[in-house]
Amino acid sequence: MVLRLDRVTKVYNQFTVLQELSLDVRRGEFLTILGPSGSGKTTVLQLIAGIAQHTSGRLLFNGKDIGRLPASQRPFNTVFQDYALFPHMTVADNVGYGPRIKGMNRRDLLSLVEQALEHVELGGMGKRYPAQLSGGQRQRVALARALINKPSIVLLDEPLSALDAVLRRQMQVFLKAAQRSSGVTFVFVTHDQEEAVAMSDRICVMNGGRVEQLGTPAQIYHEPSNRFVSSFMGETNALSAIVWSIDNDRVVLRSALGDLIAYKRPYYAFVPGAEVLLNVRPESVQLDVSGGAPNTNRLVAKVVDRAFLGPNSKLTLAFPQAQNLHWDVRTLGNHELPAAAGKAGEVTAWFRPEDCALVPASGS
Amino acid sequence: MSGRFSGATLAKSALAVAILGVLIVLPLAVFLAHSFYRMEDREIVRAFSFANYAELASNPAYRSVFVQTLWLALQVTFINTVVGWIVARAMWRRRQRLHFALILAVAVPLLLSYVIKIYAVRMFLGVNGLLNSTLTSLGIIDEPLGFLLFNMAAVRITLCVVLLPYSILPIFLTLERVPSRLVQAAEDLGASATQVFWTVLFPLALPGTAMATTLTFVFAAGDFLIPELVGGPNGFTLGRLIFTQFGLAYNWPFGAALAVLLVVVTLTAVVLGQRLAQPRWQRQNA
Ligand SMILES: Nc1ncnc2c1ncn2[C@@H]1O[C@H](COP(=O)(O)OP(=O)(O)O)[C@@H](O)[C@H]1O
Ligand SMILES: [Mg+2]
Repeated sequence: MVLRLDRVTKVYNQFTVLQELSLDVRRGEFLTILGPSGSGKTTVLQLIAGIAQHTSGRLLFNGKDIGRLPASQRPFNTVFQDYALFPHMTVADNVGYGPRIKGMNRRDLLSLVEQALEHVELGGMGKRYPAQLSGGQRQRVALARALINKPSIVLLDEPLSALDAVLRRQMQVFLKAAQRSSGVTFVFVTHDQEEAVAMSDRICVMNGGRVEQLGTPAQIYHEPSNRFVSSFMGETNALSAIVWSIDNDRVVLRSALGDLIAYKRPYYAFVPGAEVLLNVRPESVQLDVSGGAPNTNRLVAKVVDRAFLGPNSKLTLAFPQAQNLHWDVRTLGNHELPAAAGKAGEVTAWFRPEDCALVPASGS
Repeated sequence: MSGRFSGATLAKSALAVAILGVLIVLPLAVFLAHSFYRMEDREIVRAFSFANYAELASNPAYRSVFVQTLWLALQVTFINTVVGWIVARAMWRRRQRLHFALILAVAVPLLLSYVIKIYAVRMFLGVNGLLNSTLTSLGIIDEPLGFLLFNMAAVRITLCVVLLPYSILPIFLTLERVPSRLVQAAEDLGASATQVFWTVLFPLALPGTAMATTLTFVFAAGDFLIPELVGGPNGFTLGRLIFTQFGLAYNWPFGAALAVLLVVVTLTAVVLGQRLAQPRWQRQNA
């Protein structure tokens, strides 16, 4: 572990932006801080970079408290959201800024800058000014300007949010590869959960100045620890239920749609009688086409809407037992109403006990 | 149709050119024309000659006034640009309330009458002035200092004091427009406060500096009232010389030739300032 935020609190004029936030950053990892706008992501990066000072708590780098070091003396570099390239310097001067400030001689600097520009596929662009570059190119200049200092950690604040969808995909791949090849620790901020899942070794989900959950993308997606995480991490079908009984490996639930069975995950701390929210991802809901579905978790529903989305279709289900409850189902390719639909458009939907996750009904 | 439309546009631009011509170019042309005339028996002789310019170039007294004026204006420009930068940098990024008060404090003197400001400095520097009485009452000096007023040094000091807002404001305003992100980026990359200043703040506020130096230089080179009021017998400048030619000496053609010289100096300063205000990175983007 290279960096530790230990119960860090940040207050801006009596407004608590971060509340006793603790976070460990591991050496060489791609850690993403994910959260809605205003959740305090930028503030976390600024505290790490030294651009802002925390109100209380500790900031430990390799075990040493660096909380009062000025930004210029911390071994971290930032890629700003709007790039913050120096408009009056050429691309080469921008990239070489850090080493030049530290007094590197001209000849070493030139070859270092050239190398850095090659590395971000901007060879030969050194003489241009930032205003003459495209968004994606500026992005890469900002990255090169940070990486050239060989920082322990690169901090990236929503670096892709200004790019269009296609370029964004390319830059995601590029950034990921740059992180892998340099071996530098990346702390990356985004509000886009797909981006976070695609790029990260670990994701830290933030909301309202707190960490909601920290884990691998798969953990965050499949095993959300609360309502906020399950709803923020993409589409989900939720259903209120009560824990009826708990076996070794299964939880029996009672709900408006009847008795349901959920696989018991090791971290669950529910007791019988607890109110929970059952979550099933749309792609985990299946339709019983051939009538061979298992007997558990079967739901009789009616298709009320269909949308063709290209690679798959989205069906919206309504349930006779529960008004106002709608679930979405993803069906691969075929957007026709499945053959399973009986009279009056009725279908049988089902899901596997291991494909659902339970979160406490109360709390965020 | 389109012919008539462009005819109307043409008429409008012709009008604009005509107004500019009447208000600026015509007076200058009149001056230029006068500078080639001559005085004989207190009458203007309207015959073309280079006599005035020849006199200007050959008479060492005029040459020295010219050089003295340029040197004075350069000194004032240099001092005020440095002081302007120091003040602007000190005002930079203050809390909102203080910020407003500071701008007001710098801008209000601009609204005061020019003559009042000059007399204020004169009262400060005079034999019975605030500076002398303070120094005497503190026992630092026994006799009031007479050399504070009515010489070139007094002209220099007064010009500096009166023109200072013209350097502070443009520098301060461009400095405030430098995005704080860029300062943060420089610090993040390891720059000290001094390095941030010289690599980010100063180059990005260069247009404001150019504005400040141009304004100060042009005002300082052309002013006649300050040398007239605090300059005494030695504080002679080009502006004062022109003033006497049109007044006391009653030699308009020679005054016009001096004025043309001043216009040339001014235009040169403006063009140089313009180049400084548009550094290479901005010209390339355009
Ligand atoms: N300099 C500041 N002064 C006052 N409030 C601030 C400042 N910076 C951020 N905040 C507040 O802190 C909260 C979190 O901001 P931020 O860290 O920028 O969130 P995010 O990057 O997740 O959108 C917001 O409510 C914002 O208004
Ligand atoms: Mg932000």
